[in-house]
Amino acid sequence: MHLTHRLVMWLAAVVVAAPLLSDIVLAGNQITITDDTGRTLTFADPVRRAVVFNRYNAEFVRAVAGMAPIVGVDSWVTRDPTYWPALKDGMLAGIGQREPNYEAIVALEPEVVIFPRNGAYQQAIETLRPFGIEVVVLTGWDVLKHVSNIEAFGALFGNTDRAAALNDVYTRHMDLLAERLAGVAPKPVYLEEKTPFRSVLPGSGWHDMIVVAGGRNIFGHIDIGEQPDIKGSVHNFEIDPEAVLAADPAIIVKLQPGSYPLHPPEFSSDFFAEITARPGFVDLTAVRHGDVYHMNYYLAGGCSKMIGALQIAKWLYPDRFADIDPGAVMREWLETFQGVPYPGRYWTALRDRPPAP
Amino acid sequence: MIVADAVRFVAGNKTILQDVGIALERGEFVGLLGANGAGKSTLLKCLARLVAASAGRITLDGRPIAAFGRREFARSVAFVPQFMPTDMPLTVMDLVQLGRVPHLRGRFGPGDRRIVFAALEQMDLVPDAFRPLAELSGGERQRVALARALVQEPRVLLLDEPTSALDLRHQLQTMRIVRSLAADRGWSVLAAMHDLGLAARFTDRVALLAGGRLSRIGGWDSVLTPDAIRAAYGVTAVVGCVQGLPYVLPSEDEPAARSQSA
Amino acid sequence: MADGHAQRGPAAALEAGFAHRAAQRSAWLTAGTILLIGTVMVAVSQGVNDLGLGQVAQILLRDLVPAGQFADVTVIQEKIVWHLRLPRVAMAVVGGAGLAVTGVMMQAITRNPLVSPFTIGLSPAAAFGASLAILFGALEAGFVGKYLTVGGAFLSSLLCAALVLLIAGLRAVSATTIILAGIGLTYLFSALTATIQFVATEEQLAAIVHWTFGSVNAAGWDEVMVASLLLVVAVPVFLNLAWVMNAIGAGDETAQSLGYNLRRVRLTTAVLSVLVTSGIIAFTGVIGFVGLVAPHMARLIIGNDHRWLIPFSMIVGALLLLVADTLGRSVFAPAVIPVGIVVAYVGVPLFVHLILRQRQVAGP
Repeated sequence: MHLTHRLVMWLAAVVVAAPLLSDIVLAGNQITITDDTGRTLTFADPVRRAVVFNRYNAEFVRAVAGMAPIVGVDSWVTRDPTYWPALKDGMLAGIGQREPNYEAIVALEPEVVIFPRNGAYQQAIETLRPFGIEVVVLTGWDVLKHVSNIEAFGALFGNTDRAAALNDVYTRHMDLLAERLAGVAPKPVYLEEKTPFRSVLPGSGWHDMIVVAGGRNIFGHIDIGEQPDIKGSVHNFEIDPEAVLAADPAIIVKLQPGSYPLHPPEFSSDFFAEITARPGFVDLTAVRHGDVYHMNYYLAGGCSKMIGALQIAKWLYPDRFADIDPGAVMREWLETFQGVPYPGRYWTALRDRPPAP
Repeated sequence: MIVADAVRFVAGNKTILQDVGIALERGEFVGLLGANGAGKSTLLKCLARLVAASAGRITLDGRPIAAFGRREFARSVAFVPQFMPTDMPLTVMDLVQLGRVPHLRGRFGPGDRRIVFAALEQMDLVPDAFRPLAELSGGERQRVALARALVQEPRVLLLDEPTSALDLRHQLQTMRIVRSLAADRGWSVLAAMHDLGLAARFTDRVALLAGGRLSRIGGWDSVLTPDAIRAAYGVTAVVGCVQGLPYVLPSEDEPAARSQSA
Repeated sequence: MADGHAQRGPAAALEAGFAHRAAQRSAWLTAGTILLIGTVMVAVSQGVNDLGLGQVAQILLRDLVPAGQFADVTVIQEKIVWHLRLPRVAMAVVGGAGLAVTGVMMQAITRNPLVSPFTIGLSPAAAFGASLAILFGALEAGFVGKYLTVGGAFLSSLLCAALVLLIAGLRAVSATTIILAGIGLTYLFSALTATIQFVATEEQLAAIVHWTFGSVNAAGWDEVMVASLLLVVAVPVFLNLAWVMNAIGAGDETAQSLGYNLRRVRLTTAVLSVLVTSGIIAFTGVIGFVGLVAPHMARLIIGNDHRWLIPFSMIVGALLLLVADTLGRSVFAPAVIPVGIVVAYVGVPLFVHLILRQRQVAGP
């Protein structure tokens, strides 16, 4: 960590001149990045050994640099071994990002430890200083910073080409969505969380995903600040079932917690049986046309929720997106960037369900 | 010698002691008598400096007691309460040792130990010396409390009902010990007591507390007349002496006077 | 028995009993100290890379013995010991000792064996202060954030203590009023903390809940220094008050009759206890159990004479917390279970065992 006046002024010039550019400078061999704490960190060479906290960070590092530089991860990653087949013994460096095991970290001999900004980085910076291990704070789960995060990871690990490729996929599809949805009146969407009659509000990344997909969240008019706390947070808000009937959404999307392995088909059958049995639901447009989608969180959140948005857009406007296959994008994300095989479709539609006996 | 003059004690809107005066000479054992609520404990605590009198003067050897330092005062005056809490697991030895505190210079030494052992022996506590207080009976605990006072080696000893829970044998034993403290060691002893016969037998003088005043002080036969007893206790009593042993036997309680008892 | 020292039978028996018990207490104190030192050595040797005890000795005494005297060590091993293990071991020892000794003192002045920093509201108050700091941005405040949380916990704890003493002081600073005021404030601060948890974001909530677990994972030498300083100031005062604490156990009247100013003693003890406890839990988070149970365990072994109880309870508390922390980071390695959780698992069986060993005490 060497802070020189020249670097600061150069950065200032770049930032002033090109506000949309990321905060990364490659000067000769030296790598300089600015992390989420505002510190400017310099590295002589690309990082070869890193301990990465938080699954989203790990995903993006793997996407950009592969598993090779990842020497340590947290429990969120280790408990998902099918998604992380390259895991070896001894890579566990802490339970979650708030209780790192410093001895385990030191034993892995990393050059850097990467934390998201809600991790215990303050403590880590001080504790790891005597060991010469740098702490970099990058927040992979922050979708608003997707592009700059990917660029930072790319620079850090010396994989700027792959980073650019990933950003290209991301930006291309985001631009495509914006382009094809220009001027289109958004169709109403009811997004349900894991618990029945709980939805998302503005402030939640899932709400933003609906908007990007050209949908109108039927609860998007609710301001969390005016609601009693007991009804929940923006990610998990208790809604009135009658409001769903009144809004008559074009599609219903049910988010199902899950990860890399697919859910068995019976799982969706149970859900479809339950939702069609709800009072009044069988008359909803979406139910009558079979436009109820049981969607794995995993797909929805893929690549900073870009793939989820793409999928919802296709459901909403099949004609406008006839040539787009979100499944193929997910395959690319998993196989090209994550290095794991694409297991199949991560969603089921009501219309595909065989009729009940 | 400890002297109280015109002592008044007011608590809330009740006047417990109106105008109490008493002088305890060296080497005398005085019994403090009176009905429940008459103010015996309050008077003792005023003399012991545990509570402050609302008015009046209390002096020890001519000096006002407020002028003494706390430790200095504790070396001269010891108060023995009627009950001791048993929340904490103190042993008999732990408690009796405490009496040396006002005298300690630095560590608790062999001299202090000898005094403690002697007191334990005198109060018949040797077999129980290391047992927790909570395991002892109320009477045994009273003896422990007195042992602590013995160890404190004051010049003035103030006792609140020292025999109330004791069996007959230990009543006699304790009274004998207390009397010898006055007679042989020259302590001034004031003991609040309920047992009028015991008081009459062992004390040099008795003081009768009634209506917030010490209405009568003197030899037992002059103080404990049936009229005085009726006025102070609200009972008719038979007072006498058989084989040299004084007795006071309550016969009837007075209907009008029943309201006097607190 | 030599003739020159002829005593009458009973006095000799008492002398023997007295000497025996004093020797027993000395033995316990010595054994406890040795056990503590041994446990420190073992704790330091435990970790992701285990060290041999010879290596531990070599590292701890590096300024006093030549290299390789006991064993060979690498620079990294030295760093791990001095920067990662020793601070947390030291914090566990200082924290455990501090919480135990303040438990002893608070129980003594209130004459109530059920009193602990929990009962007088300090722990919930500290949790409230830390939660408030977290709610108002300690997480986002970067490096200052840590000090905000510690400061919030400490100040809140002191506020609670001040309120307890104020309420108690409006009556008499007696045992009962301290306890009652403490209970009331416990509920108040717990409710306040729950309210904060209700309105906090998920991140903040996670941080708040985590703080309440109690951990020495974040211990650095700075924290250890501050906590040690508090202890160094308070413990000599406590030791000086050992006789008073014994006397209070015999009843307020007896204690006053012995010449003690109970109001002043209670106030001094309460203030110092609060400072020490707040200082410790501000850094470690809420670590319950030790302040309540370590004094009891010590008392069951060494008796109620505070001249012995005060130092011995410190040893018991230090051992409890140290063993808990070491187990918490070894048993499920590399997961580190916060010490506040483990200490109850470790302590309760031990405590129950000690209780059952006691003879039945007759009722009052």
